[in-house]
Amino acid sequence: MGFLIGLLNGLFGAGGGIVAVAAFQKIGMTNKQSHATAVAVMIFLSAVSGFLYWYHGYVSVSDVLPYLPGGIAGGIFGGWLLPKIPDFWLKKIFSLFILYAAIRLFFK
Amino acid sequence: MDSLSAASWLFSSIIAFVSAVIASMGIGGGAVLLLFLTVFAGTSLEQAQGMNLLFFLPTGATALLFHRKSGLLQVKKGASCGLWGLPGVFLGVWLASRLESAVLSKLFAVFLLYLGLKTLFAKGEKNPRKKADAFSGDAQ
Repeated sequence: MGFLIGLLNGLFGAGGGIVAVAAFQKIGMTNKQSHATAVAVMIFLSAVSGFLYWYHGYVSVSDVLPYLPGGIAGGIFGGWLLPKIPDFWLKKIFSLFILYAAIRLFFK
Repeated sequence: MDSLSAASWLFSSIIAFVSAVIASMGIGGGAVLLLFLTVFAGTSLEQAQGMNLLFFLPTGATALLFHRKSGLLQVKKGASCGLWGLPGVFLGVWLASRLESAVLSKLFAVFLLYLGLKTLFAKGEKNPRKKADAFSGDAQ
């Protein structure tokens, strides 16, 4: 399953995390455990693909710096919010993002 | 950073914040940041995707500290998934450069469309507020 998630990520650059959440739910994790664990998996895989992007010269670290203060504040807020948000809303928001990813991929 | 005015810095910080909140809850990767970079900031798709990946490392790691503390993180299952994913990423990147991936992308898009609609209209999930209303209705 992990192999498939990595494959999707490398091939399409999107959707790996979505499949990870769905897969973790299938093997018995709760909704929130699936989301939290998917973040961990995606960090690991993003580090590898991010390195490849950087190595090929598509991006430099200084491009990202202006976005980091807001991003880290958002990370703190998201980390605080996940255990508190009702599952109902987590699922609804998640499904909208899946649909958005589908549309984006379709017109790629 | 010099090229960014104070106003646009503030705006991009807000975008970064929103994007990070969503990404750190495992919802939508970098959909918000990617959209902003490619549509509004005029960044090329490759650069935007690379920026998004690098952006996610410190922001996701910050959130992960919280997820670990709240006990939601399933370390063992996550680790095995991540390790298996590694050869998958390399194969995927390699395949992407070889295959005419337009058809594959569309197939995967259809699958995501199905998954999204299924999640959106999943049964057995009630709006907690509505449930509360139902209870108060029973009580009356």
